[in-house]
Amino acid sequence: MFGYVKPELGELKMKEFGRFRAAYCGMCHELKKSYGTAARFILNYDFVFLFMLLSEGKEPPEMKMRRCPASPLRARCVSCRNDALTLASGYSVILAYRKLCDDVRDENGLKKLKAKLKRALIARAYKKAVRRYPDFDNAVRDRLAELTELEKNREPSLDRCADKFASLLASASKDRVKEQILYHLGRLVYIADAFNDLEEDLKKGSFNPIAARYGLSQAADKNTAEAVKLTLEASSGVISADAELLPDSYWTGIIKNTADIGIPKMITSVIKGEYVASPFRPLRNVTLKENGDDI
Amino acid sequence: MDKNKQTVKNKSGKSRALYLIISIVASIAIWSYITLVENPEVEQNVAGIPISFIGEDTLSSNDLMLVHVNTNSLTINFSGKWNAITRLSKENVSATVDLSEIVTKHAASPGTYQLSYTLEYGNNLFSSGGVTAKSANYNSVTVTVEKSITRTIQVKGTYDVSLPESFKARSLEYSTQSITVSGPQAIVESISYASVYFQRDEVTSTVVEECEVLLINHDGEEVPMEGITLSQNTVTVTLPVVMEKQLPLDVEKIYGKSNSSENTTITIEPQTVTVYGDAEVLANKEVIMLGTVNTTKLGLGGTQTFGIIPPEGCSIVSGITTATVTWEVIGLETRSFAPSNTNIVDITEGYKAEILGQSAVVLRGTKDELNSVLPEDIIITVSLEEQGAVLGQFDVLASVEVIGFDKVDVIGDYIVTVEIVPMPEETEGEESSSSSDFR
Repeated sequence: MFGYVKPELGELKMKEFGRFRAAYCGMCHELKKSYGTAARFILNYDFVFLFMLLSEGKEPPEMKMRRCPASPLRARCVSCRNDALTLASGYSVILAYRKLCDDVRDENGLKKLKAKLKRALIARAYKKAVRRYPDFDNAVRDRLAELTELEKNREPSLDRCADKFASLLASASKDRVKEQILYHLGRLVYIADAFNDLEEDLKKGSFNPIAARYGLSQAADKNTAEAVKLTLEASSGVISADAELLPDSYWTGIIKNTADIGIPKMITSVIKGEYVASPFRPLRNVTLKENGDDI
Repeated sequence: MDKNKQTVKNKSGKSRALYLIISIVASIAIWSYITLVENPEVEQNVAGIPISFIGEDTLSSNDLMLVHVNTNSLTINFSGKWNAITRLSKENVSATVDLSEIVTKHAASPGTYQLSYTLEYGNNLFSSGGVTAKSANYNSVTVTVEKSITRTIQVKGTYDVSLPESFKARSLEYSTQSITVSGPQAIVESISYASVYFQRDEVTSTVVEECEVLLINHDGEEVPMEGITLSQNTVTVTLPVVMEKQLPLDVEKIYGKSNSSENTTITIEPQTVTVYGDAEVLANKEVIMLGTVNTTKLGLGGTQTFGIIPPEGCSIVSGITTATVTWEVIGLETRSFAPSNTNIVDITEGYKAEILGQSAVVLRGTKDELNSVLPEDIIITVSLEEQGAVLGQFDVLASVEVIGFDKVDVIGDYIVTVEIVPMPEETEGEESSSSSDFR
């Protein structure tokens, strides 16, 4: 379900690439500091995007040079703790934990065991995050319960299912524009993930909202793929338009890159069946100055 | 020779013991002389002397509270007579600080103050001044007081439980929605809410848990409880866990001679309802019966509305309270027949009855069967047993039988209006007439 929202790294300006990596490393450090080492492993692009979206202000955030197990010899520029970072990291832990709870319930065999193990590893982090953000946890839990109910009843409406996941993500912000972006992001991620899992779900006999919507019993045909692409692009269009309404911030370039290039590219590869979650491999000779100024 | 050596040895051994005793006695004597007679002036440090505070009530009545002290104990150098000094220890010496001085001698406002302390000696042995405190590591005690405030803060809870299939959790309920917090102003004002949380593995019934309260500040960090007083340290949370079950709706059906489930359609809207409630109640419940549909009361179909009564203690998720039942008989007809064969029976002796009015008889059956029925095949019997010797007009429920047609129904209740009058004396023995006035 996660790992769909990322910028097109090759189209980022050098300075933006450095900033993105500072954000990514900042999230990792914040997760470790606030929630323990195990929490670091939930980190993905989507949560980094959440941090950047929740941030405000054009001024560079405080940065520090830090080493870590991933970069033990060379210190990297890392975004320091701020309100957006603590919020995004807390929300990320809650979302990751709830996702694992769903996997434990829905999966079987080895996958179920893996999910149980991962959940046990971040249980402590979750308990801490939930104390800080009980309202968000309650919203996530309630929306996921409603979504489970729809999936159990084999809900034929794709929008109704996607709306639950979208609303869950939208509850992360009270700002109208950011709420809309998060809503459509959630909708897009849900549908893209469903399309990606279509063949596997049909084989296992599991509920798939796209199969239910289009009455599929085998892989999507051209017409279905086209219809799904259309609905994904509709959400992508809203995200792109809303990104223009955001006030300028330190992360604007990366957010717009993600909205205008990264997400459309992801949609194309999902529809083609080529989408693969790729690990983050930063360019090693790009960094920021110690005070966060661009190179 | 040997005997002499032995004697010398014995004598020297006895002398050694004697010298030992003498030296011990002498040292005791000297020690006693020095301590009791001479009793010199000596000095001694006593460390770890505890500090106690009095006058906190005066502080709290001025909305102040003690939040910090620079030290919890003192090290004091005492001088005095040897026998007095050697008895001093941290167990029988204490220092007392009077916090009310902040109110009486200072501004009675938040801040840091240096207060003097008074030494107290445990068993009043030195009340006459046998010991003097010459110096100490602290000549005064530095205390910090802050304004004490009380606030009411909201309780926010969340939980993590796993529910088996068909079980649902309702909204969390709290024994109290808010608690009061008292303490230093800076800390209390930083508190955002009181957090309660619990975790349980698979639950199948309502959970009641007493949860410890943690205070969370605006940054989401836990607030240390030091110096903080809560109106309650725990909050009881209740998580109602109910079973949800979809139950079909059904009715008791009464068929006539002419119809059965094969030629009668019964439609119930809605067909099912989802109810929630106690698992024990719902586990064995498979259907909700709405009531009875009597297909002999109307001709070829009808509609009835029933209230949906969920199982005891359960509720309907959607809030729907009524269901509509529509039934229809297929392939039959109804036809009216003028009554021609009405009999009044069970007339009390001495009375007679006259039929004042009766309607047509409505029969239901196949077209062919109805075509074959003649009015005389329809026997109407009115029994006046219930009326007895009561005079007057009565609407009596009559029984109707169609002779020779076992697949034809009489539709509805057939009422005959009769009048009971006394038998005239001169006409005693005359039988009652049965008229078939067709109305």
